[in-house]
Amino acid sequence: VGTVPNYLVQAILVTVCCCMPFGIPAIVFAAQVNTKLGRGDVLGAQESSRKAKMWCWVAFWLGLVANLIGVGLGIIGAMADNGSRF
Amino acid sequence: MAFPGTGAVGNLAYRQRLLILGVVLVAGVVLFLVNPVQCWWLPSCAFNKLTGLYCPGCGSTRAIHALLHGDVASAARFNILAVCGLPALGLIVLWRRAAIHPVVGWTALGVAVLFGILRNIPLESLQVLRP
Repeated sequence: VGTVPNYLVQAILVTVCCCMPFGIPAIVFAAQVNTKLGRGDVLGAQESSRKAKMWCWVAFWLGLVANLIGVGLGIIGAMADNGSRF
Repeated sequence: MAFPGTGAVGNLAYRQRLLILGVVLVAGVVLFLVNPVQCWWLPSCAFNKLTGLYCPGCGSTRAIHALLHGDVASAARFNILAVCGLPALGLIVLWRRAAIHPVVGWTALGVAVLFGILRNIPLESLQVLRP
């Protein structure tokens, strides 16, 4: 049996680091990996592993972009607040 | 009965553990020094900004800051799941058998989804779950 990474830790991390809507499918597929391995379904486990990895990256990049936009809006908001005082 | 494929399945590579450890250390130092409430550049939850709802992770930045300063009560108030879940996540990273057990993944999913639903139900008694 080769290695079938389940990406569970990565999936949980991208979910709590605020990419929640796309992190959930990542956790679902990550959880599937070991359930399928338990049944002896190695091919299915590899398929779930691949999908878990894909959703981890989707969640990671979208979360990064969303957070960068959030920080950018925060800066603009802070500047607008400062400006309104003068 | 041995769990099938227990030998080399589903665990993190040594290099990945080092990477995670490094990120955790840097994040820990930053979150110890910086108070998220007064900080404009630490990102707050994009999901919360877009929808107005609380995701399961909302408040965890503040919770970790409070934890690092030994204030467990405030941390639990910001995000009880982060306080309980961080040790569990550490266990999954360090202990291979936990990471590959099927129950662990489904439990993590169930707990996160349930917590996310509960903290968005507008009941006074559930206020304690909101950051």
